[in-house]
Amino acid sequence: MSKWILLAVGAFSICVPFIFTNEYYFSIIIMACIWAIITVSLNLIVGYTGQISIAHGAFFGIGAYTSGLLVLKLKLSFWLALPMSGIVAMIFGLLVGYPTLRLKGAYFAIASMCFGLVINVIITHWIDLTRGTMGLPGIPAPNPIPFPGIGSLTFDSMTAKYYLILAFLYLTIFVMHRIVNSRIGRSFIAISQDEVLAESIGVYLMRYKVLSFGISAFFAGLGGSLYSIFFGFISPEVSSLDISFNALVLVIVGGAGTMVGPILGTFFLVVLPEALQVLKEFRLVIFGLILVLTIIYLPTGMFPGIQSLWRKLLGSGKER
Amino acid sequence: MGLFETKNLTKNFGGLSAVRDLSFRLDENEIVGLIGPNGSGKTTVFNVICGVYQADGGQVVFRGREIGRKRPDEVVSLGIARTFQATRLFSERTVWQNAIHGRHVCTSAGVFQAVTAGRKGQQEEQESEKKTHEILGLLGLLPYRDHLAKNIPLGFQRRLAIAVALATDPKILLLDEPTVGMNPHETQEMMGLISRLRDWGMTVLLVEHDMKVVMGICQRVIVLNYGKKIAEGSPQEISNNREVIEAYLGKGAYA
Repeated sequence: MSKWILLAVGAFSICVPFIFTNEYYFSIIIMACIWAIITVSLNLIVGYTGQISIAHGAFFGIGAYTSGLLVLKLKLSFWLALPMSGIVAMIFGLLVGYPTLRLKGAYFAIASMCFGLVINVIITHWIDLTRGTMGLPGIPAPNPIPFPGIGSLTFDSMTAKYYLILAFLYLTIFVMHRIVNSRIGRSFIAISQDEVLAESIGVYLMRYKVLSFGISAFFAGLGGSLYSIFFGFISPEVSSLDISFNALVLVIVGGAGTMVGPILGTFFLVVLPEALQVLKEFRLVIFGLILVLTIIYLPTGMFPGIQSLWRKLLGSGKER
Repeated sequence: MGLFETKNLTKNFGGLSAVRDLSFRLDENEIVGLIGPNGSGKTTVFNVICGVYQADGGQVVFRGREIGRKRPDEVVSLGIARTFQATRLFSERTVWQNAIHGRHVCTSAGVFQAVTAGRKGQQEEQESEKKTHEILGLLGLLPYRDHLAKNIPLGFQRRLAIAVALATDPKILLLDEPTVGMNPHETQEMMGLISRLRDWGMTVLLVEHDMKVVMGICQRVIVLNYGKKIAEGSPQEISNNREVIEAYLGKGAYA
């Protein structure tokens, strides 16, 4: 059953460029894919490890600027800048996570938010390096990948960029899936459930929290790098707190701690406001209403809500 | 040389000395009871042994090694597992998931193994599943395998807490009041279970309030009062010890 749904979604994602021929709608789908990379990675630390982080926008911004600066200033190939942006974001994640993850609950959330703010301020005001609010324009498309004999794969068109971003979204989901279903993921979940008990069965809390934070930051960095080549322009906005908060909302509304939840939440909440464009200024009201209703009636998120509804409908209510 | 030993262990909270100059030892394969009136420092002893608190003085020696400065997760990996008073479980996880969480210290696969689904990780995982199945079977928890831990009866929750601790492959098991709040029937079953732990090669240190339990299954009993050891000996010796009776019932009760 779930296998068929996965196949259908996979097939649909490949057909998207042919279905959404309108460039505007297509770009919204691509943006949703980038958002999904952010939320799926954020879900590791928030959903599975239980540490509310408001720093994800900062990692996204660090990734975008690392990639942009390496390509523009050092003339590095994008294919080198892409992993570098993940690694730099991860290093920041490890360095910041080590002192702040000792804090619990809201205190960690506040500390991570402060880190996010600091990064945003640095990017905005280090004008010699980042050109400040003027941003970095003219980030070129990734270099073509040559295939000897056949020609080369270029990334100038929107469709090619879409497939590139989609591939990395699938990579992110795949890696997260593997991690979550391993011994490592189990220790993350143990921490999110009960830290004292987790420690008593031998989970070194700091190591696993910092590890989760680092992996999470790595993929956010990749997402930032992909964003930079999709728009060709980045400004300090890419590291704003808005991104951190929005990502958190998408994860929680979609269903934190589930694999499907954040993806569902992302596509729903990124595509919905556009679908409501016709309602003009009322669209934010409807948007807000949906958020409030989800929090009240589906407190664990949309996906777990749908799951339990589905089970009730099938009558196999294994509510044990 | 004993398996485990504390030497002059001391722990103070501000001006209050919760444990004073406590020395005792555990030998291979015995069940030792740690009793005393409320607030006599029994749980503090556990927390010091497990590395939750740092001792203010004295030593904890396990297999000839000083372990007094280790973190809680290091203490478990050496082979000392514990359960908590009032049952701590991963309540939103199933019985099976709870027990397999305990395998953490016995496995070592890292992120790379996880992402590539490497052979080492897979073998470990199979090993963990086998062991988990075995432990759940021994404790009679297999019928509840897929139930959420929070939804099973109290008696089984207590057993599950022991199963989680057992899954870490310990040499010594510290049980903190495993029968508190149980009815006589459940208590009987828990006593049988703890006795069987001994047959499986475990050494058990048992904090308990229920005298019937302590007298029934312990080979040796240590009595604490105000953080000090006031008596040690076989259950019979303890039950006739003047100081012990006074500590529990007040001066003049010894007749």
